[in-house]
Amino acid sequence: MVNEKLSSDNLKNVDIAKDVLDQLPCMVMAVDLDFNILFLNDTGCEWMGDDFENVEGKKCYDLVKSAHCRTDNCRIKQAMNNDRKYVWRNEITTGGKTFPIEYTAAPLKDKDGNIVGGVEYVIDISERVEIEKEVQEHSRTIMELSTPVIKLWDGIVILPLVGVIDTMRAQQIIENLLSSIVENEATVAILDVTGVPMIDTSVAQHILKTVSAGKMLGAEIIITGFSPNVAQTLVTLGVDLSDIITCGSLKDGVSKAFTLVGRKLV
Amino acid sequence: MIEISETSIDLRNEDDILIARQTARKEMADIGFGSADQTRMATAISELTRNVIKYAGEGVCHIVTGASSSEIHIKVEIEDYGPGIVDVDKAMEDGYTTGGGLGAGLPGAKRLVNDFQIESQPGLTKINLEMSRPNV
Amino acid sequence: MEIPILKLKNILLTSIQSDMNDDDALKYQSDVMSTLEKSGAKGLIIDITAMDIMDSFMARVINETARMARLMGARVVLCGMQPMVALTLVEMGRELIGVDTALNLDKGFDKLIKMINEGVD
Repeated sequence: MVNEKLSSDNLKNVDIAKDVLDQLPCMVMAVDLDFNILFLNDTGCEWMGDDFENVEGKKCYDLVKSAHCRTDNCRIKQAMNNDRKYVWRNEITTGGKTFPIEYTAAPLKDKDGNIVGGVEYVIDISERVEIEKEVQEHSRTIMELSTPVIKLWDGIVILPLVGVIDTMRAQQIIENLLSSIVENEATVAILDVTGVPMIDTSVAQHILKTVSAGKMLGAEIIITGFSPNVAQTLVTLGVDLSDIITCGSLKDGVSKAFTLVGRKLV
Repeated sequence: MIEISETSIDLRNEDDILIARQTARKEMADIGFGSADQTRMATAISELTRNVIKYAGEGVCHIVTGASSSEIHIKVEIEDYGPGIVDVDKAMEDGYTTGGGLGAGLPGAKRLVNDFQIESQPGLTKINLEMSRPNV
Repeated sequence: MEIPILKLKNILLTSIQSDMNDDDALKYQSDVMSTLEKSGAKGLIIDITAMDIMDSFMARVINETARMARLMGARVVLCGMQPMVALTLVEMGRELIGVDTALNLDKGFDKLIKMINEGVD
């Protein structure tokens, strides 16, 4: 957006490099290889609660005092040692307020490409965290809406899963499914994971638990909908799924369920 | 964490196993633990108090529940003054069975709770179980 | 504590309501075995609908009873396990392997009769 009223005259009052840096709404700091502060922009001074004159030449860890300071986890140290950038999330408290931040550290190089220090910038991610929380709430709602167990036929129940499954959710799912098997007197339960983008080892373990528990209730559990990605990952992770009945598609799973119910002794 | 309830149950015979389990269930239900968690803790308590009756003859089971704004919590301590478990590490190994002997059932009980601590020497064995959940 | 053993046609039915101690368990098992022998029953249903907790001791008692009965030539079905009991057994690593199960008494009977008639193992 260009302000028509500004002319090149006004811009003479602006030291582009310094003022732009100072006025960025994020903290920018540079240190040398010994963690002495070379530069701290205005926003940084505001957040750290001190003037640049007072902090110049001091150790950054005396100013920042984060849990990573002076340990191998210090991102600026890692950036300087490994010649790459690092991004990390944390919180800071300043002016009586605490807010979540994202912090990026990168090596600072001279004109010949030698690493002479580190540079970092810290951004306030309060808004982003709010949005993330909302998204999590929404997926929780979606999960809740999509985990009722449905009675497909006499003796067959089906549970289609959608979305991201964490441990707490997985627990609830197992309990729901087992109770539902009893309520519906099911001998076959189909657990469809087509809508689950990623299944890690812990969710896979929960699935195995469900199958074992289901067996003791007299029910067979069929898992359908493993994507090729998920199938590959699980096998690579060494999860032993040889004991469970799996079908690629929900359709195959339903077909198998009817066969089992037909053949079963009950 | 505010303490909500504290109960002690003397373990002298098999009936006390049942009392310990039922007390734990009730206290857990009162502060909001779901039935699956109640079953887990009651089963762990059953496992361990049965050991006490069988091998130590007597002991005591302390149950403490508490809550904070973010969590509900139960802590169970089972104590006996019997001969103790000779090799605790071995007893805690999965798959170690003494045909139902001393210490059998410990690894299983450990899996049911969030935190499990055991110290045992002749004359005193203490087992601590803890379970927490977010306070909804 | 006496656990009643009922006989219906050629099937024995026992219902485990609560906890047992070592002596109770031994008595229960020998009662079941001698009743099986005397009655010539071909099947045994162990109903655990009323058990809201099963620790490793009870799991072993049930497993052993089933194995003993099978050795005597009877088919065995365990019925009525509560869902949370099933889950807890799995989590402890003590799931019952090799025991036929059914959701409830009704289905347990049906299954057992089919097993006996079809001579299925």
